[in-house]
Amino acid sequence: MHPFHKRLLKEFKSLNKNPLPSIKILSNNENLTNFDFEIEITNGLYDDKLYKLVVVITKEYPVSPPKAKFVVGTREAGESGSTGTSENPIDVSSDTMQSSYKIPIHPHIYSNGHICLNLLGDDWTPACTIESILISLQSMINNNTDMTRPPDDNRYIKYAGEFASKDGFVYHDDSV
Amino acid sequence: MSEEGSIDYDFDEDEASDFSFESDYDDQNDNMIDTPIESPKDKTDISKLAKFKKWTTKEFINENFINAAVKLQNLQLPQCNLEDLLIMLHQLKWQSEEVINNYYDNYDKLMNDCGIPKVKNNVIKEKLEYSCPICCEEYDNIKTFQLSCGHEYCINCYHSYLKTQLTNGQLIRCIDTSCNLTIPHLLTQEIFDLFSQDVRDPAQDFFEVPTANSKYAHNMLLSSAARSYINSKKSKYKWCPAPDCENLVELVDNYALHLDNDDDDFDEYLSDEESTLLDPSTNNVKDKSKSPSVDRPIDISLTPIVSCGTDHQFCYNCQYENHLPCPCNIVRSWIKKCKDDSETANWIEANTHNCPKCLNSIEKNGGCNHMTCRTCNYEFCWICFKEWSIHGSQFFKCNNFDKSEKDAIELNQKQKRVSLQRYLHYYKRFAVHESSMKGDMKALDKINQRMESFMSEQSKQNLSNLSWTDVQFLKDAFKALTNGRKTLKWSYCFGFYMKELIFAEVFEQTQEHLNRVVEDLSKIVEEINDKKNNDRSTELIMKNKKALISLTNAVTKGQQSLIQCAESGLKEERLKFDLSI
Repeated sequence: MHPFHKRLLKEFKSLNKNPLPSIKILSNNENLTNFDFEIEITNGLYDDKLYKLVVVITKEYPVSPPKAKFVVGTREAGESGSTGTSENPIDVSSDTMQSSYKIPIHPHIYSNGHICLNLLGDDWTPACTIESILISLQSMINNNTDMTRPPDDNRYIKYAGEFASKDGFVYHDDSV
Repeated sequence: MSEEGSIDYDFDEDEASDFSFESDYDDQNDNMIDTPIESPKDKTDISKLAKFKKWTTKEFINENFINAAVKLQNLQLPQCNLEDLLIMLHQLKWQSEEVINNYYDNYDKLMNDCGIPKVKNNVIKEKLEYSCPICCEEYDNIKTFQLSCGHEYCINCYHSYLKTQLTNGQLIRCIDTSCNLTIPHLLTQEIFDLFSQDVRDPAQDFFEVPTANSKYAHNMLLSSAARSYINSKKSKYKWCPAPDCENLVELVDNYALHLDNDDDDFDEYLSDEESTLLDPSTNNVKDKSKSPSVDRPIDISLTPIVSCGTDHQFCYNCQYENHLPCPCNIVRSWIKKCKDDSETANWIEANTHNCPKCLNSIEKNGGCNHMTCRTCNYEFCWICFKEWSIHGSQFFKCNNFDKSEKDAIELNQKQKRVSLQRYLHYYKRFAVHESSMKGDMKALDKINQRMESFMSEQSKQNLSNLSWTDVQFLKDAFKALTNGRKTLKWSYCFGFYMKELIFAEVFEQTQEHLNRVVEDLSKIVEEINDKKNNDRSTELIMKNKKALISLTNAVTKGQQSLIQCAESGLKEERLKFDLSI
């Protein structure tokens, strides 16, 4: 049981009661420390539209921010969203009734799914919530028009761990 | 010779030659290391003065943060209170002029940036039946905290929040993300103190004269601010690299003044200076116009070895332990060599061949000469490295023997092997002294503890026929031992890069002598610390007092003469380095 279970429970209830537009909880564990979210991007620039975000609540939550990253994976077809044809050679399942999640292209999102967002680092305070992260991520992608990876993508993903570390980032450009 | 671009670090005669590490107690107030202007060498050489100042973190905070605020209040801004001035200084990176300018030019913006409200109402209060929006716990009775904005949270959440915010050294704001108000320095400490387990010993503060500064004496936010401030000015301040040491050394001279905010320039400056120390064979001199100066002999007495407030000596340039007799560039090259894979690469070169087709490395550890590369399946002859098929299918017979080609390969391999062995020879000795030093330190710690408990026992029972000055010899022995080992350790790095000149033998003999006395001293320490002698360690210490004292002197002397030997040898160019090794 997480030491701040009450807080997590409150956040979880609120997410279920007032779901955020275009965001849904795919799954979560019983302790409410691991969440999978599906975020829909509606600005028309993203062909895939649907992206899967993993959020992990650390022991230090809410003093420290949760860890969050985008992940790849198969998506059950028949669910909402497009079934757009894929150019990704890994994705062999597009012929069948499945399609896959990819990592959204964004100058602050590395190709391994790590996100460079100051809310997940220095700007986090305990008054922020999982919901605030979901909202800022969604708006960060929706407002993006620059369809590129971060400038140091190749170098970064070579040495990156499982999650982005809080202190490792230089925020390249705060304008996007 | 280019004079203008050189810094010379000079040291007080005592500092440079006396390595006995006398205790600092008598000169604690005199923490300026003054250096004579006169150059030890060529009179025409315009030697410049390098001055260093020792700081403890506490003194640093007092002088640069708190006194800066007090001065502002006394002289320029008497209408402000000390708390607000500290916040303003903190916000503007401790630049008093900036605070004054901003205060008069753009008061509203400054107050807004600093998060100082017009009316202050910061409260810590007891609350009944409170539910905190952060942890969502329902408390029957809890302390809460709010700034003037009224964003109220429970004290537990505030405390954990403050702890995480402390790491970056910035001002700490209200938890609410849209709120910019700053928590004053004293208040942060007040909240920390609510949770602090250890009650501060009042006797500890007894001798401190209570001033405006004393209430800031243990402020954690100011300590963290000091850390980040000092780290941002790396050319001017260097932390003592010794573990757990919180002292720092400031470079106070004209260079620091005009290079203050330009770390890169300064580094280049230093490395230019070093490049003049480099052996010409390295061709490492960036600026060709300076190349005549590379002929200048190396003078290791110019190595900026400084000592922090608690006697740890280190090189200001490398921010590394005292590495004499090695000059900085040799140290850098050695550390790089030990760190990187160049020796692994040498081993591979010496003991393997590349597959002639895919260039994969193959170590042949036996078997016949018909090789099949595991990577590309290419079959070849280990003797001539040509395709196997031309060798016929029956028995091994290699007639494709090209002697010159083969000789060239073997010569190369042999050289690599010799170079590897040479490196290992020196590295082993370097590493042994390093690990012995750690072992010694542990042993010394134990002896020290035992000695202290023995002394306090004695004085309790009024049996004391020993005083602290009587065991000073023990402390001296500890210092001499660790410092002797350090010098020995680096003398092997020195040896690795040393060219084989006649004088090298003299160096090696001096090294050997130091080696012997250090081992002798270490042996006694070990014996005292032996578990078997647990009960009679104090007895042994007193029994060996004479030997300890004389060995301490011998080690200190030996260390001194090794460094002097290196110094004069390099100066007179009877010792030279070969960095191409």
